[in-house]
Amino acid sequence: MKKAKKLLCLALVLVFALSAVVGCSKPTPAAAPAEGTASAAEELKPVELTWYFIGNGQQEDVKLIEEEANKYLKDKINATLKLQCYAWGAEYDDKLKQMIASRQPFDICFTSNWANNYQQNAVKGAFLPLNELMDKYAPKTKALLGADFLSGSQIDGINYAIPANKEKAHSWGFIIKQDLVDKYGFDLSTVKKLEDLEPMLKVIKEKETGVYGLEALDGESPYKLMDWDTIGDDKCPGVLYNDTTDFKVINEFETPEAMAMFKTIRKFYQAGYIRQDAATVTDYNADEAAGKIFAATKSLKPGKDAEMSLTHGFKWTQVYITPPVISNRETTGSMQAISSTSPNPERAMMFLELFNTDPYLNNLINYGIEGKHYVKVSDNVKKAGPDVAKYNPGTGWMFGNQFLNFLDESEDPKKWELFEKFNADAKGTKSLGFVFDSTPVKNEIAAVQNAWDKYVPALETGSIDPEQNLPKFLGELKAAGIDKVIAEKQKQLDEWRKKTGK
Amino acid sequence: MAEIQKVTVGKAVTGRRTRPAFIRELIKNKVLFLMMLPGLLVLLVNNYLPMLGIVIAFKDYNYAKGFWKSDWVGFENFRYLFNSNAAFTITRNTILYNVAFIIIAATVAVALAIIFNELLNRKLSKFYQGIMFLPYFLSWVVISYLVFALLSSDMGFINGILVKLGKERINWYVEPAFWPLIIVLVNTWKWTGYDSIIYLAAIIGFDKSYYEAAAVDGATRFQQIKMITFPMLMPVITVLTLIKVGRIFFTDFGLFYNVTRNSGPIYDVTNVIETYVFRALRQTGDVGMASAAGFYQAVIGLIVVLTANYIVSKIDKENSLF
Repeated sequence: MKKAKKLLCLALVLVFALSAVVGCSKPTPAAAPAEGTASAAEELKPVELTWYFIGNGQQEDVKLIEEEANKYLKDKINATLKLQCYAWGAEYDDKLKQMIASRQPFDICFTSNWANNYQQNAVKGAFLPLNELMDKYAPKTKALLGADFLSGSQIDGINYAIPANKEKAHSWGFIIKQDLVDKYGFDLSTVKKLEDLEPMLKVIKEKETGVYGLEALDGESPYKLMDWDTIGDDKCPGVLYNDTTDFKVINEFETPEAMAMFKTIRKFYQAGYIRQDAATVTDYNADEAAGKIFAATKSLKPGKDAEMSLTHGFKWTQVYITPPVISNRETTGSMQAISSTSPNPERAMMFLELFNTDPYLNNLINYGIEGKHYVKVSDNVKKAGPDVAKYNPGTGWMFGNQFLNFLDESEDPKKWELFEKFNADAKGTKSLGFVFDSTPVKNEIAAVQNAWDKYVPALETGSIDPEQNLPKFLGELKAAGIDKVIAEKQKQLDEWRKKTGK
Repeated sequence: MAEIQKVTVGKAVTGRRTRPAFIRELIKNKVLFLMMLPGLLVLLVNNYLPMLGIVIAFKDYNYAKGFWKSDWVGFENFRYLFNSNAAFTITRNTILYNVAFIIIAATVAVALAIIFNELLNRKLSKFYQGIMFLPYFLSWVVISYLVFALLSSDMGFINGILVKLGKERINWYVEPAFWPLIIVLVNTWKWTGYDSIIYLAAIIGFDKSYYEAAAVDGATRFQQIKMITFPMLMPVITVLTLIKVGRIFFTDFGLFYNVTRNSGPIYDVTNVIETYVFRALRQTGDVGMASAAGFYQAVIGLIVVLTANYIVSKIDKENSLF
């Protein structure tokens, strides 16, 4: 018996020891081979379409919206809809990465250059090429979007996603809390650059307790006012000046402008205008929604302030700082892709066509059910309904064709004309339409990313001294292989220019 | 749980069996082996089957081409691990922190276990054990907020005290100097209770007659601890330490990511392999590179555990694992 016990013990110990060693290698998602697209011309059997998108999380009444949409879609394309919203920040990104890597079947997902990365997913085969599908099932959407959006979101001539029809340009500037402006009688017309905010921030700091003067967060800080013409992903140095003529890709952190900007932010931080733990804040909307911010840097468009006022329930006003430009940020900034695991890609495309052209469906998903979540004031104008708190995604710019959206009564009735004018006034950036393929230098980018995370959030929130740390950052970028990345960007850009004649 | 079971058997590992004997044992103790079967199955499905996925580490994984048909790229996926000077920092941090954790687990936890055992008031002893064990049940996310409540630069408890004392506030999350200590403290706080209970379980199991004999011979309590408890506890300490040494290349992601609030300026002392890989891959989203990192860690872990076991077996055959 004793021997048996010993033997058993040995077996157990081995099992556990092995599990200690083996259990550590993270289970790699085993993938089923990608399915070929479902056969085309089936006579519209009922199907369910799953749609993943980004926002403030799943809305309480989303089931009602689905039911309502299903009733409507049944006659049109005989499909039912399943809406799943994941929250801003890491949640949407992480969830989609897992689903894509594990080859989970779903139909439509939101993709962009800043969340659920379009380029990476497209080259890795996560999305279906849509050119033919679009020709066949979504001709109206194609016409609607026009060349700027369509070619601006192509990778080697292939559209892997359908951009939302919205503003084409961005202009960085400030969003400022109106009631504080009124209270202290600030003259916002004097604000032409970041430094011009200083006297106001000083007053806020002295007189308003519990309000942070300037919002500076990782990735949404005044540093954005530099408005580089970024090439490739946001978190990888190597950009163009917006007015470049020689198309030379530079490391933006080597420029004197960057140093000056970081110094100003550092000064504001030390003066207490910026939240002291700003570098580690991860909940981007909490302070804004709670009205604890006087000024924040945002990507602006006509009526951004009104859109935000609607979501938060108090008034914001906006101040443009940088001139409007059309960049890849917009053309690939908000798109819907069809997954290569979609069981019904044709139906998904039919749905997107309908969604981009049908005002009823579009507004249903944007604002909920009439009389419940919103009430109509006139033909194209609505106001909040009794149940607005239960369904108010507030992300019209993401849901397809924004020009179909009803306006809120608080919004400028000329919003869409202003949009058109904003689009028309904006100039395209030099790299508009160029999509950087990061695969040849992905090892370097992975290392660069670590250096970026180490320094940039702290620099752009003013948490560390730029004069000491910016040179250190540049040194680490060099060690991580930034020169190779920039050379690759330059190479691809030059080839692209030769091909397109820009 | 694995560790608890192992403790009870750790000392019994000796000798080799010939094959027929093994089969005889199998038949004789079929009930016992049957009881082991479910665990073994879980292990196979959970830990061995996914090992097939290791091929991804050597491929340029393309979703459309799928698992088997993606292109082979050799060791390309491993390159980013050694691509920058970060490699040195993360390896150093990973190993040094783990060495510190192992030493603390083998000293503080053992000391606590002995103290618990010596406490005459059983109720009080249980109460202390419970208190010490509690942090084990908290997730790192919860702990990260507890730490934040202490260290937040605006409203943190510690900065509050500093201000009251007329000192300058410290911006804890940007000062690298403090973090090695903070991390070791937090880790000790979370794990010591758990480790000490394992040791305590072993101590309670010791034959009381040794102590009685020692008492008759006039040994003091301290001498009893030194001459009886400690030597008898040695095998357990060795096994637990060996397991931890095998994981010396793995760290608690939550400790180094959540508790530090992913704060950049302190990466020099908080970046470990897991966090480096996580940050790198959150950007590139490359499955092949993630697998490469996991594979690299597993290989190094295996080498370390084999070496450690070899050394132990040289010193004291009885106490080695295999």
